Amino acid sequence: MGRGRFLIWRLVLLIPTVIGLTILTFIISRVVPADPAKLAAGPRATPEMVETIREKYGLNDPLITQYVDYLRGLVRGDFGDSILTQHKVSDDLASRFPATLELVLAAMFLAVAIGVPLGVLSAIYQNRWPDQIARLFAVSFVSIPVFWFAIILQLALASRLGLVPLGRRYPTRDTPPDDRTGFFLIDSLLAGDWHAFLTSAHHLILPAIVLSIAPLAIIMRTLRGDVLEVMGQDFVRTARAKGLASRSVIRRHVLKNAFIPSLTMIGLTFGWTLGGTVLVEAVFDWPGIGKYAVDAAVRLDFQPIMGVTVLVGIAFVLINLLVDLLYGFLDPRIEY
Amino acid sequence: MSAEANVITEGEVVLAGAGAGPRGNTRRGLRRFRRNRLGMVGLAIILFLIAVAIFAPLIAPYPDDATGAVHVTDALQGPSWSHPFGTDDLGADVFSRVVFGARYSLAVGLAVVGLAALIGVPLGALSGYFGGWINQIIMRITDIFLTIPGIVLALAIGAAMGAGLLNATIALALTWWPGFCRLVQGQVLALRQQTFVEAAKVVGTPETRIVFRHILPNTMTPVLVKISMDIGFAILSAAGLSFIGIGAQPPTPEWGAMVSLGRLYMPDWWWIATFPGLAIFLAVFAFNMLGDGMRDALDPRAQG
Repeated sequence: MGRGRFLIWRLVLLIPTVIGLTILTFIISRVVPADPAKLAAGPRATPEMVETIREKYGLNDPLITQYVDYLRGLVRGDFGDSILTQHKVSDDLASRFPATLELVLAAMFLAVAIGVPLGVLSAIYQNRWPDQIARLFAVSFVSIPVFWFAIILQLALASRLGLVPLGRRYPTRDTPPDDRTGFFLIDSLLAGDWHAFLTSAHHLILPAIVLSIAPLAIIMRTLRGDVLEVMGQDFVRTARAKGLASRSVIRRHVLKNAFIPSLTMIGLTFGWTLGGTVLVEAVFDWPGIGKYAVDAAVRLDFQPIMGVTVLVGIAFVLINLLVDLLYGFLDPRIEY
Repeated sequence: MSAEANVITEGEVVLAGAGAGPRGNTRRGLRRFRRNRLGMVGLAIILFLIAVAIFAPLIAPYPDDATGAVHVTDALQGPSWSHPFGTDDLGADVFSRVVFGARYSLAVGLAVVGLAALIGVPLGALSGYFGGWINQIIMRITDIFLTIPGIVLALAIGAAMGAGLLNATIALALTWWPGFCRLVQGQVLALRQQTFVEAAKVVGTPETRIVFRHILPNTMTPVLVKISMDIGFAILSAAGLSFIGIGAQPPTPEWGAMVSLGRLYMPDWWWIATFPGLAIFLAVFAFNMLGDGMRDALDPRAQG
């Protein structure tokens, strides 16, 4: 199969997955709750409001009809309304998603930039002290409750030492850079505004560090394992046998081959990190979809939670698709 | 059955090993585990936490504080001899609450992973053994569950069912089972080709009996390793849900809920959030060490 046909086939395969995703979210929002209308209307709704919702979503119809309506709504980007913000959930998501994506990308950048070299070092020094220390850190990093770590670092670095802002994307009294991409780092560069760029980076750094520790540890461990596996293979032994310096064996032969399987794990951690924003954004008052979901959860505002769920699910599916495509691109041995 | 270990390929010995000579293999694994220092540390911490959970009323200096007793005059005191972890906004002893919190976290961690295994293991076994359309359906369902990051899916299910620790536990279990399903499916798929399964078929053993008596016991090693690894992460996720407000509700002394409350009193009254968070870390860390140690001892092929 050619590359073009593979791409099309992969996209076609997405359809059942996305349909499955909508069935799952439909079940969560319409079948699981005791009274979906009451849940959608919110805790302070009057009986009349609940009845309006029941009418609007056709909650007395058969489930199949309801699902088709639900799907029709999703295709139009209709996730219902937020009781809290009084906006359409889709509008809220659109305005908040870039903040989350910028944060997750920054965290993943840190995780890969630090986790990959650490994983390689750990493998090279297998079972010696650099490896032992790196592994201890890895186990600790996946064991730390990320929301607690956020609070502690906020206390130490922001409150006590004043090194970084307490939270938010940008100082409240200043106007953020012109909204072109929604990524403050990029927008400020596009505007040629260095001050805005540095301010945005200053706000971004602590939440990004906090969010990066779990993926960092996972990437490190995966890469360590993959490097060790590649190092045990015949072609590496051959390279050593013909007298190549071990540095060059690692760089030329091992790394390339070890990185490809790790890519899948990096893609998965990307998705989990996207989920992790739910636990981190609230602490830093970061105006993304994670904080949006938590604010909604606290006030029993149900529609935003489902909106975030669908959005994160679709993003996760797309990330994995991207990884698959990259995989085939990096490893010419893979036959489509 | 022990002869069969010699027939199958070298790589599968570990898999079939449990069936080939369960006691010998387990004993060997135990010996290997005992030599694993970090695994033993993990086990020691877990035993300590279990003891704390059981004897909480004896250990906690102010047991009533765990269930929401209010002592306004003692509110927001820093750590001292009488209150080692300080007191919270209601004057409750944070140490006593952390001690009682061990009960909730351990129970929830066990319940989530236990329920998930209960759903995932049989489904995975059926899927792997029968293949065909059963396999297709079950695997596609796990695919769908895996498209949403666990914490978000649990948040959605938890929100739909209503806040509370029991609902959060169920929500987490519902997001957790696909991992077990896939693990067991893969194992069973490999085992299905083995000679001892064919032998069982030849002598006319009913298929469900083959699955549950001959195949499933042979997948237990990786399942046990996964259970021990996952309990820690389940504790972490449950604490996360409580932190968000979907899980345990105050005054329940659940660690995540305590951190959530303590956050409001940062930075001046830092102890309210700090100590429950440390407790979560300790518990999750211990289960991770145990899981790592168990994997190295019981499943030496999967070195990580």
